[in-house]
Amino acid sequence: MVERFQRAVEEQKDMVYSFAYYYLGSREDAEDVTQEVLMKLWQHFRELDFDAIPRWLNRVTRNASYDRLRRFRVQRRFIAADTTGEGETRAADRTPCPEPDPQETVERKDFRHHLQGALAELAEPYRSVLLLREVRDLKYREIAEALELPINTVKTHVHRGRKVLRERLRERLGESAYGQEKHVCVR
Amino acid sequence: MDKKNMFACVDALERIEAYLDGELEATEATALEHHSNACPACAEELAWARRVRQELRALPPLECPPGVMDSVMAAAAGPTATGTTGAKAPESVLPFPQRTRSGQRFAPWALRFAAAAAVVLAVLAGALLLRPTAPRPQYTAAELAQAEKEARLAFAYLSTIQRRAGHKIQQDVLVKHVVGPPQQALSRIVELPQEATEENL
Amino acid sequence: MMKINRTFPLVLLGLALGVLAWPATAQPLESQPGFVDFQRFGSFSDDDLTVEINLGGALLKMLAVTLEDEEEEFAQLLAGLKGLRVNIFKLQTGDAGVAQGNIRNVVRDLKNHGWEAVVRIKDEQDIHLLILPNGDQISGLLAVFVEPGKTVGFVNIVGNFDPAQIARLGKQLDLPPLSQLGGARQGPVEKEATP
Repeated sequence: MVERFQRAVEEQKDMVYSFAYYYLGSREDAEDVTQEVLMKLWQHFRELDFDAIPRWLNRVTRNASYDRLRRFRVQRRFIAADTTGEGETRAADRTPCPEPDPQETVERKDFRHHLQGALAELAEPYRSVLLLREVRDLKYREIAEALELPINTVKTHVHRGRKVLRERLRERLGESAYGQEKHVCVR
Repeated sequence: MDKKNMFACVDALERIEAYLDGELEATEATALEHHSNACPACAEELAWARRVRQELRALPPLECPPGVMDSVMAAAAGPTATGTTGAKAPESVLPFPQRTRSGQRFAPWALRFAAAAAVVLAVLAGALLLRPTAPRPQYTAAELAQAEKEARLAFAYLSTIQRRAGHKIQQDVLVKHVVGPPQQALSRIVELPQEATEENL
Repeated sequence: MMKINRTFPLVLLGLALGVLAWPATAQPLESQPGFVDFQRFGSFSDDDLTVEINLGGALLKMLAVTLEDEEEEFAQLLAGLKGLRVNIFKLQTGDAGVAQGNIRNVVRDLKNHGWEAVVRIKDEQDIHLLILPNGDQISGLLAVFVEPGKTVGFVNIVGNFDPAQIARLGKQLDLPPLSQLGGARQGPVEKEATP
């Protein structure tokens, strides 16, 4: 039993950790959530089919990440890398980035840093659906199962979430980099 | 700006997401592409949408730190019996008398044992009451004064940590752990004066 | 069906003897659930120790008695405590990373044993605040504060207390300047009760 569990954990731990990391924007929170989720897996391991584990983990990881976010929302308002005191958290300011790739340009690293920050600021359900769709590369049906939502609702959330993410990213990067704030057809 | 072009822009913008998902009908996809070729603003929006999506999909999978796995596998491999206070679960439980096969509540010999147990308990209670207690430790006034200063300093240091975290313990702890706090208590929650703490610490 | 345990009275007798033999002194602080050994966070040199406060249950109770007329609430809080401990160390330049890594490992382990993280700050200063819940009250509090290149500080409060009391007392406590504590380092003042 322990060996089978270890095999399952080896296969899935990086996925769980990655989701939690990009969701919460913090390595420490991601470690805590990953541990919590894998402990839960151990507790329920007997009841689960081995093939159903990834699907089960999608749901549990997302729920655990969301619970953690809600629990620490009050504290997060006070966490700021600058000294301006209370205010909205800029997740990118305190997110330790993954190991930089020396091949990457400075511009791309900066973009990715802001992207992660914008992602960690997205409200639910957009944050979950975008991570599951774009980062985990799940099908709409799989996301619908994980979040227990109708497929069309998931699609709507993904579309709307992308738009909101783009707007947030524009704000972070500045209008000069990516054109006008408002779309106007000049023709 | 004529209405026909604006309408086309609105149509194009509405279809970008489905286009990125590859879910547009071929004719609609073609129409969107043609429009983008002719409209710089829509072309830019489409390019931006494409780039953000590509970058999202390019976010690398991360490696879970080994320490996390170690804790989990330790829990799976070894017996643990820790309660929420960190104390171990009780290791022995005194068994309760059960119904006998005949249906009687207690067998006669069980009653004799219960009587013996009652005697032992009485002896125990008497011994506890009569046991000489150890003398309380004695502290001088100077020691108490020093201890008072140290206690105040300890709480002041804790308050400093709280304030530097920009957060009061009670906002999370009270909500979660204290059942029905009086409203007066909440309204009296305040912080140390800035100047006193920084001067002293 | 469970058999009647005929050794039941013998077990009870054994318990009685055990209780009679119970030492008159209270259980050691180290065995209390809310106690955290600061040595777990790494071996800091005694030369780097700038503040050490170690007040045990007996002393705190005595202190509570002396304060109960003037500061009832503070006295009440102290009376319920089994330990109040602070260690502050100078942190040598370059040691912050190691200290922070050790702290994170210990914090993770504490969380596996029922402690809950209340606050976690990581910017110029690294701050952890954890509690050990016990129903409506708390049986342990741990605060860890790292200022890289300067200090690392630990506060451990052991014993049952109401978190609201600590919050309310924040403003009311009269702070002595450090210089009045009789030097940078204070040794433990707890006395053992003599049988």
